[in-house]
Amino acid sequence: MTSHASVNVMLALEDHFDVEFPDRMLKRDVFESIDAIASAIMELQPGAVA
Amino acid sequence: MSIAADREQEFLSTICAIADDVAAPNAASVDRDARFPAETLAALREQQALSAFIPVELGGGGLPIEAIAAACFDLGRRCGASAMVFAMHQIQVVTIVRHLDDAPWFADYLRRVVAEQRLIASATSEIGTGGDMGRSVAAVTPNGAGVTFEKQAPTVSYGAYADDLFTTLRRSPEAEPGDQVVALTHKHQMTLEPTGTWDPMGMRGTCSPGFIVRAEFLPEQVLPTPFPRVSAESMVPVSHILWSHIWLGIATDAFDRARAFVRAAAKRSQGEVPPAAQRLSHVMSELSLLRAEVRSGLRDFVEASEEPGRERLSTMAAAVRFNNLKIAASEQAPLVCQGALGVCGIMGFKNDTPYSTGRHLRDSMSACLMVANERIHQTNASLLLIAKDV
Repeated sequence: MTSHASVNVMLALEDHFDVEFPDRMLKRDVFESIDAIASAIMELQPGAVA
Repeated sequence: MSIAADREQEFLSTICAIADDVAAPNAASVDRDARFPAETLAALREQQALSAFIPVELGGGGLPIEAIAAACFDLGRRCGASAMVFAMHQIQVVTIVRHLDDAPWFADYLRRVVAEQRLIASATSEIGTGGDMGRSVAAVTPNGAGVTFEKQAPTVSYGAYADDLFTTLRRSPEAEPGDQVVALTHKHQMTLEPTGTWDPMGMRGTCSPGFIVRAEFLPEQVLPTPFPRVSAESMVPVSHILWSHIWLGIATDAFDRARAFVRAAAKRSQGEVPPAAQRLSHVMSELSLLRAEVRSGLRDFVEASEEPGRERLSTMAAAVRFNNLKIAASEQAPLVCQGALGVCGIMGFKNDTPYSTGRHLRDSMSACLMVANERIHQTNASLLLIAKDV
């Protein structure tokens, strides 16, 4: 995923789940797989991802 | 004073001596003839300066990044092109040293850099990627027991004079453009076919024409850590830090020449402050902004590198921070050089006076296009949409 594509995914996730990723989460390994993204969302909004 | 601090001091005295006694007297001819600064490189090799950053346990000097940055500044004051060759080599060394995990071939290679004072060049840009270092066309391609690549590089600084080449590539012929690795290949494993000439405005001694690089090598010459991580944690911030120290060095020497000019004028008309003195004061305040940004960039990098896992360096905020260092320093350095030229007037404009600042201005103009600033702004613009605490 290129960094511009990553940004678009992050923006869409923030919008959809109504969360804001803190800076510590804004790095490559948090967005390198669907599982990693899901656990980041869960941490910000428990129960958001089934 | 500790032993480590003593060694750093000794190294910097050696570098200053090379800068004054070798780089400075050759700077004009290196610039005029666009020739490789061979004398300076020979002196740096003789003093083991090419392995200064390599850890002591691998036989190197074991000096910290601060010492390498200070050396770039000192060399930059005397000959920008010599400093740039030194800096680019050190960027590759620092990058390898910081990513030695599971890379025994690279540890052995660093021992050879120490013993043979091998000079490393890099081929990170490529035709067909629109200037984006995060993408490659050329790929590591299996060939029997070994691997090969062919890369069209629009510029390879001192490519014809280097012993080894550090090249970004796609991991395999099937990999996406962003799925990159970096490989280290030796001169005897490569052919470099020149694709252009080298007659630029400044930084002429870096001898950076384009080449088609073809290499046949072994799979273990590919660094195991993926390039996106290598790039974020090391190659990009270290490049921006070492380059900006050179630009600060160039701007500082331009300022020093302007100050010498004003002092000479003041001595001739004692009792009055010469008109150029006030202009010099304006240049000083621009120089101090440049110096502050360059120093704080280095400090931020050192602090972030000391954190476990270098977590902070892989954040977007860190990417924005070190991109800003590059943009700010590359715009500020030519401003200082132009200001110095304004102070010295015709004596600065002429190429053969003690107050000449033409080479400084021309060399500093390369800063904004070593990775084009607009390309970096484009990346930052994207990151600013999501990064918060920048």
